[in-house]
Amino acid sequence: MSTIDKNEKKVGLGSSTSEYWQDVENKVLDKKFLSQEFSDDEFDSFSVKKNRRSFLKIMGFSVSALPLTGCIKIPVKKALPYLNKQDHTYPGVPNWYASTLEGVPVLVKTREGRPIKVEGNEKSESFAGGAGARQQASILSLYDSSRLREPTIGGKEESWETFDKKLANELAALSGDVVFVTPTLKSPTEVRLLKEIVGKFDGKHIAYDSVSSSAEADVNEKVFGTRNYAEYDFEKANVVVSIGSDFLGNRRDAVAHAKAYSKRRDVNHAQGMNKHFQVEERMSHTGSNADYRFTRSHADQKDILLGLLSALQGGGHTSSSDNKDVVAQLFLALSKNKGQSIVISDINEVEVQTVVAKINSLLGNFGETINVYNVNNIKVAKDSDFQSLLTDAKAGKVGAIFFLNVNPVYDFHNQKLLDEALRAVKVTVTTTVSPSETASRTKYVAPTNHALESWSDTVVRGNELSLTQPTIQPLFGTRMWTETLMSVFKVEGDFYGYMKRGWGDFNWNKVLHDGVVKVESLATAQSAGSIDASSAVATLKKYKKGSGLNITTYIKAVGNGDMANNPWLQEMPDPITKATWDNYAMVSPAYAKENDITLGDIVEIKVGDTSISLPAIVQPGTDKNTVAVALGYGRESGGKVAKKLGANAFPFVHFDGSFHYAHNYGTVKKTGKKGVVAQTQTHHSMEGRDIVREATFSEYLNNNKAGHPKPKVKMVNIYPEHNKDGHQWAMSVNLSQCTGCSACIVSCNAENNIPVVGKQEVANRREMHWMRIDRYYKGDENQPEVMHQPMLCQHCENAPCENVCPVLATVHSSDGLNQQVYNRCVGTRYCANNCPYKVRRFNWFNYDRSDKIQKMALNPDVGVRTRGIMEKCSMCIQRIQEGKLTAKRERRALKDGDIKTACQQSCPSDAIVFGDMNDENSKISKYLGDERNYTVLTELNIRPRVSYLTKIRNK
Amino acid sequence: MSDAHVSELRNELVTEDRSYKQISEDILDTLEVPPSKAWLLGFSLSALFLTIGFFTVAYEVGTGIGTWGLNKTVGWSWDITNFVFWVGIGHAGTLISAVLLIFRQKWRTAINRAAEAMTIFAVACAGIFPLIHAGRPWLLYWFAPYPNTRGDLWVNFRSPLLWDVFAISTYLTVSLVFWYMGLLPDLATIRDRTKSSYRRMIYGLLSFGWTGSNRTWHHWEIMSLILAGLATPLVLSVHTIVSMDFATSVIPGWHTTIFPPYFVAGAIFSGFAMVCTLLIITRKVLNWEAYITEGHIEVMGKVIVVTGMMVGLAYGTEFFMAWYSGNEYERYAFINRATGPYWWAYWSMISCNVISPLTLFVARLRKSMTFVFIISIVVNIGMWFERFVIITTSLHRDFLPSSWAMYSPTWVEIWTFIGSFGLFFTLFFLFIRLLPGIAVAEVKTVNRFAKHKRKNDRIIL
Repeated sequence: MSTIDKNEKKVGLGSSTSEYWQDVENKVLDKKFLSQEFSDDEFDSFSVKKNRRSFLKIMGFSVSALPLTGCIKIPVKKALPYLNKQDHTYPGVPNWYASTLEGVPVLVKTREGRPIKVEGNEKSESFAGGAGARQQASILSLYDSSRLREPTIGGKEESWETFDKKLANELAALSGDVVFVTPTLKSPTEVRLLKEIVGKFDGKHIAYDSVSSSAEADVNEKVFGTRNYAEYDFEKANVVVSIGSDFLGNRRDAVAHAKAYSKRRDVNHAQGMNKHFQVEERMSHTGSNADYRFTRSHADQKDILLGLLSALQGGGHTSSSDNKDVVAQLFLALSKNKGQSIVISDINEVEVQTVVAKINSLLGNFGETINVYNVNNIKVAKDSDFQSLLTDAKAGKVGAIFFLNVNPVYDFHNQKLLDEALRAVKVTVTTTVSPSETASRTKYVAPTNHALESWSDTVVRGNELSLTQPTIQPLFGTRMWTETLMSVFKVEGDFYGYMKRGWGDFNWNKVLHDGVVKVESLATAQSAGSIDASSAVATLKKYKKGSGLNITTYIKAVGNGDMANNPWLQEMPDPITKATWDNYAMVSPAYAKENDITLGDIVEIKVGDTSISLPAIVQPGTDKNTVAVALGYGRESGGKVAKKLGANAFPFVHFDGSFHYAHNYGTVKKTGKKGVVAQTQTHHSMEGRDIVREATFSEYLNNNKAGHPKPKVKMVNIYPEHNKDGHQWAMSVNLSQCTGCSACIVSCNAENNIPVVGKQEVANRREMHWMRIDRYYKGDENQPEVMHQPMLCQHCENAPCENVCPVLATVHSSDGLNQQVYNRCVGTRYCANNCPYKVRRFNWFNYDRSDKIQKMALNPDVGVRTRGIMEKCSMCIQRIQEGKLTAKRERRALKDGDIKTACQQSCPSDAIVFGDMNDENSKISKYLGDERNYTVLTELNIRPRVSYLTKIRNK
Repeated sequence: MSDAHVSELRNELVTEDRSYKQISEDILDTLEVPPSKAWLLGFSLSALFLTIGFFTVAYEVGTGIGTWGLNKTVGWSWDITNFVFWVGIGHAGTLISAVLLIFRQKWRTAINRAAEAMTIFAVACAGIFPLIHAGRPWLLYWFAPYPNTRGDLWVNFRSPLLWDVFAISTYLTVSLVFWYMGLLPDLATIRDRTKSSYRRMIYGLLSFGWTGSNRTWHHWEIMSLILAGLATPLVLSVHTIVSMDFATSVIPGWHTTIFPPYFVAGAIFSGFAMVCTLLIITRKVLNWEAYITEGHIEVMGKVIVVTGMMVGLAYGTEFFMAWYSGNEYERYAFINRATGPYWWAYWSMISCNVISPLTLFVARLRKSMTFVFIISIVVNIGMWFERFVIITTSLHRDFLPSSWAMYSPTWVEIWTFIGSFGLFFTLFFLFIRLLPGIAVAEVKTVNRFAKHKRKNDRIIL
């Protein structure tokens, strides 16, 4: 087959073939080649392999070649042009496609056919352009070389034809139920397809979420008559009371929550700032943003809920003396804001959710700030369904199980039961994007397309529908899981057609172009029925703490482990602990002191027969008798990144009508061993320095300049000012709105080709992130106040880095940017030493770029840096350039908002503002004129172009 | 040459009766005999360390600066510490030969040769570190402001690192020329004494055709004086400029106007200590006790006491200024030095540099060769720690606590440092074997023999 033939084969979206992708040298990536290329080496050190042979090689090379290196030219590699120009593909010009990732409407930027960046879709009403870290990082999950590539039966690779035929034959000969297990599905077409298939024979479709909110859905089903999750309107809520809910963190709809919530953190909002109360047993990302945060154990949280309910109902429960004050404060705030408040809890227990619903109903929040929609054709997880499926299977009633993108062999708490159940099931099938424990356990494994290679539709919020469309041909020999089902169960056509037919008279091209559409008939808001909370109250009253420590589980950016193989997410510092690449045991300072536990001590957490060993982190704001462990780690399979990171905490989940995550009592024991926790920040106090300025809302209302100290020194410039004609770029960060979610970090990674350095290098304090979020604590260790401060190159007008560089590799641009000239840099690191903000990053090694598939995620507009070079935030200069050129081509002046930096675009809480400070009407000019505006380390007179707005707490 | 007038009250500079011939023999015979076992052992050990150091550096250059223990917060540590350490040591030689020449301190004659050699070797060791500390050392020719094809690209004259390049290269050049010119009469003596024809040829070439005529001597003396005049400001300028690497920055603990004099005093302090270390061994092994006398060591001991106290004063001043400035970052930087995680480095520095030299106030201790030898090593350990404290403890905790970090060296840094000692001693051992370790011609001018004979026999020199 000639090259031209292959090129032609690329056209069209119908067929999927592993031979599709060609790299720049026109070399077809075949499977054999790939398997040689990507060995399952340990991923903990990206930097360099040091062994005897390579040592000798380097040695020999460096000794003999050093004098020559100055003269060596890098060989020119051949690149072949497109022979036939493809429609809508212009080399160097990005194409944008609207799509949906994990329920977030996004735009996908593709360059020369490769998706390289995900941004929020600004057309969406509820997400309004926000995108979280997970969505941003999906790009790297797409280009994951450990993804499954071909269907297998019993571990043996087969063609799709054989796979379909064999599976269909085996199913035909089967007795017993055929059960399809999916996660919560909010795709009407997918649910419809499953309904159709299930309808064909005696099948069942159940939804299983390993990190589940099933209890909430159970309650909603009773109260609203429809099984769905509630949707919260944080913009309307004057008071938010969260009982252990991480609604800004890694919960569903976190991006939409942050969008709405942050609007009410703006002091200029028409209804003023909201007041956020958080009662929780561990310091969550959401809790770190609360105005009032109470560290209370799981039992106390239940006590507080009961107290609050009884206060609203007029008596009945007396909270313990510790909690009385909390209840009083919550009651006072809530009772003044009936219909304009939200009480929310993540505790996945029907009783708790019943009480929460009762409280919300008494406050009149339903229909106002909280809505539950009846949506046709969605499937919301029910924990008990899965539990009873396993009981049935164990009893031999189930003939076949399809695990459709779920991974219970890793994330189900009772592996013994699951194992017994699976033994009794004849046919087991898994569809999955990346390798999983479940895939290794099942006979039939059908690798499925990544979301960026797939068609789908999602009800994102209310009646807003968002489409998912492929942005690239499947990289490997995978097939959409929906098409696998259609093929095995003989549903006519392809999934795209199936979906299109289903939606009927859409203006299909427009919907696809916009990505989102409001469909009136899609969802109807339900009104709440009466709630009888008495039995729930009775049960909760009986709740007794177990003996020992409460072991509570939560999720971080990698979720339930589904994105554990994503290096960007693994290296993204946790917003609170600033730890990367691991899970760990979070204990309170008080407990640590009593038991002599320090950072990195390996502790054994034990409940009954299950025990795991993890390094400890002493986390301020943790309840004294609580140990918090993140789920999603300790994957056995799942790719080279996921493997061997942390330990699996799912066994600590237990089932009691629903999956309980928050309470399991056991012991924690020091093992005497030391482990490494790779943190990007190890000092947590601001040391009384004027770095993050803050004030309370009432102080602010009295004096808009509240929070600023008196200027200590008068600034004198002995040199003439820079010329400030033309565009002058500046950035400002509203510290009240920034929640510290770290989506900007991942966005910056993707935009600027920032290398991943691995756990050991992060522990060596050498992460490469251009943007970081500094997190400081203040006050009592038990109930600290938290401050988040995004920190990036401050583009100082009198930049200390510029005058120390001996070779002028860092210079000032005429539009006010501090620029790093990579080609010129010789790597003395003097600039980094002299940077008061320590935002410059040095390439200590040539970071691993050998993964040919991962390399496709690189942004061609930004150079890749070699070792020995300093790099740092460029204010996305490629975007500035693109914006200027577009305006020029369109013969118009640049408008405010034409250019958005990557961090700014993705920010779910609109905390970052960037623009031309010479434009009087720009948002940045308003921010710069705001009385809250200040620069960090003003007294050095280095005049940063990045400024901050004082953090205001509504106290 | 005029009469060598030596005051009766002064200690004699050459303590035993020696004729001119004897002096030549004492000093130059070492070059003519096969190396001793001690020399062979010392040389092999140094060469071994040098070799390991060389391969370590090759590994580092081939792999990346990541092989060191540096991080995003601490961008310099052992590399620049070693650089400043060696430059500092390189101060004594020129000071002894140039400044003392101008001040007519005759006692310098016995030690100036070795001290100058030490200077050059130390500067050579120092020069390695700025080269290898760069991320892309193969591009360091960009430091040179020469007309090139890169358009407007030129060096940054505002950068102290560039000043370093000029300061060090000038210092190295002048020191080298001064040292070599001083060698000329002795090279001629070797040429004239040797029995081997190839040695005669080599030393003949090296001595630039020295004839020993009045005219030659006259030119030589004038030139020495001029070079001394040129070298004297350099003694002050080199470390002043090295200190500006730090003083011109914004980092608390670096941004200090006291640095230039403080660094120069420290450099002389460490340089003299190193001279003591080397010469106490050399005089013993080569039986040069009559030339490098206890008196010499004692005088250097006095210099060590004085400069040690100057350094101590500087430490105190820094603390006072940190408090007096009212600058919270500055205050913290110094409190952190003394009580932070690197307190041990700070207190090692204080005890080695401020406390230990005070013992040399006692004349008996100053005259004990063993004791001065130990103190000289202690002082250099202290001076190494001084640079480590200034560089590392200032960087590791600067303005934003979020970036505070710790630093510890890797084996690569440790072996690079040991390797630099290997280079230093390899060169010194070669020097002792190949060139006269004492300025023969000059030491003859201060010989007691001259004085003694003049009184009785009226011998005119």
